Amino acid sequence: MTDFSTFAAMSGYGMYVWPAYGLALIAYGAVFIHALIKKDRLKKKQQGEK
Amino acid sequence: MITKYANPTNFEKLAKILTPVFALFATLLLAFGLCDALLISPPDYQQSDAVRIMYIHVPSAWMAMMIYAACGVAALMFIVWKHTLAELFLRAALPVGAVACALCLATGMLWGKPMWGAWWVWDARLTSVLVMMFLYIAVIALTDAFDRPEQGGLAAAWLTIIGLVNLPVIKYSVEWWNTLHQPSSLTSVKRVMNPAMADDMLRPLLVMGLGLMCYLALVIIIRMRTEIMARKIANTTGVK
Repeated sequence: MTDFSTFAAMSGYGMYVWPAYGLALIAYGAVFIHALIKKDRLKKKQQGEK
Repeated sequence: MITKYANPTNFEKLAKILTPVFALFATLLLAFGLCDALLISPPDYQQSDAVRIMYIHVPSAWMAMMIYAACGVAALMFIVWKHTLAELFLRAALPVGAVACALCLATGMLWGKPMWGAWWVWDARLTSVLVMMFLYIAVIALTDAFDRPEQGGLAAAWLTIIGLVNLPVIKYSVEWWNTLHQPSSLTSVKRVMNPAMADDMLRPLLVMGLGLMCYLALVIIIRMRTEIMARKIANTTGVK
């Protein structure tokens, strides 16, 4: 447990390091999910027209 | 070769092969890169663990610039040869580049606060990257600012090309001006053969850079294929 808290603390820079990684995860994840949703919607639309 | 793949049908064939390849490499490289960046690589002797922000900040900066440069090439091809695929690439890649640019700025602020004592300074490097952010936003806005999409594509292509001037300014800002932002540890003339970075920090940086490149290439290909599909539907039904 202490191992984990040392890791999470990032020598006191945790409040800068983790938001940086968190933002990257959210933003880069969102572009991928957005691309998939867009593709999926179009496929459904295409099937609806047939 | 370029003209061959500028045809959407040929692109579709190529994309079908590239999609799983990029997906595989992105997964492997990012998984290993993240472990390396957060766990294996050592803390910096001056910056301690705050240096770990570098492994997303620098790859994001690389990708923001690389995507902008690729958009510049595509914009030129679109203006000169009217390649539809070039326009599709512009529309697919610009928002992805804008996200990378925004992340470069955001992670830079999170790194600047503990290291420089300020979220933001009007330093040449920071300012020129902010200009790139505004260029991305302006070009994306232009693509949808006209009733006829082709017109929007053309206007966006011209602005993209004008904005290319900013890329060398970003690259050399740390050498032309005395800035707070540190110069490149990898690509300045003196350092190409002798990078000013320890191997165990260089390794996660390059792995994360390559991983992010494969990942964003994958996203751009998916977006391009969707756009091709949308245009095919629009052509057959006659409505957009």
